[in-house]
Amino acid sequence: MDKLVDDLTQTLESDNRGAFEFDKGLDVTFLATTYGANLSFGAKMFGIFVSSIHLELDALEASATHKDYPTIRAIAHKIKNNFTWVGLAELSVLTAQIETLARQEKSSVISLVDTLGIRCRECMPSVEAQYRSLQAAVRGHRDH
Amino acid sequence: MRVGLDSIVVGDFSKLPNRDDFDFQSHPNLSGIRVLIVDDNEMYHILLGHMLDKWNVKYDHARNGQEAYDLARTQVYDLILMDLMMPIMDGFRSVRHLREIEETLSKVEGKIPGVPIIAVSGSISDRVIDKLIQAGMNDYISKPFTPIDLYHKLSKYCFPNTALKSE
Repeated sequence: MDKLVDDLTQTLESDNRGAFEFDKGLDVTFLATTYGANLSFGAKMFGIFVSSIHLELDALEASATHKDYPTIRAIAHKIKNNFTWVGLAELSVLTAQIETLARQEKSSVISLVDTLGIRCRECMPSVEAQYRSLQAAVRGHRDH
Repeated sequence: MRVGLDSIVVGDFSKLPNRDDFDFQSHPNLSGIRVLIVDDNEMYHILLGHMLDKWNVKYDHARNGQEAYDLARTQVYDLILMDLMMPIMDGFRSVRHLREIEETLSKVEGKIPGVPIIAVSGSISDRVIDKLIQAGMNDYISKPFTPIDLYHKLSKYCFPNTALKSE
């Protein structure tokens, strides 16, 4: 039973890679807490975000152009928490607002979609840099 | 830096869970159980997979209700984690279809236990709970949730005879 307790206690503990510097343009506290001891997990999460967010934003903006509220709502619902996972929690809040306004078919959602696109693209250099540094750290660990 | 079970909260991170009241010793080893993760968001596949990997739980992914339906008809799962809002076929419809199949099989082969299906959603309200129960889901996990919440649900439905002291 002790072993089970140990296993459970360590369930999300992973290979401790030591101090890793997270990008100060992102939520450093969250990222350090979530990925500090799980850099490969962080690299996977960032990798998926980087590879998918542009397509999702394009689709969101296209649906906003056509005032296609159900599609805006569906995309916002799908991606809203993804921002938090890369240290951009404020964009998760913004996307949740977009989902709510789209559900209510409020035309004010269009400008919020624009704002999200602008803010997200402003943050992408930090996110992409973070992704590269996570990849490098994971590679470095493997090389040892 | 040390990251433990209670360090990851799925969905929203404004508060971290308190694990003081979690009695690990009353919980079974989940190793070997088989779970189907149904979600159109690939980051959730990675996240849930990350947790399940640590517990040696086997899992498959489906990206929508149709894929889930197709997989669940041909594979045997101990539990399904079902997102509700997905393209092509949503979670409600997928579960209704799965329950219809189980009902049909029961008529032919005698009563068979239905696979436990847990809704996973950030939009749980009383209306949604009614709807998911009507569709045939057993329970739900509301985002944000912690690995402990997930562990509770897995052990509750995969090992129903095990006492869950903390519940």
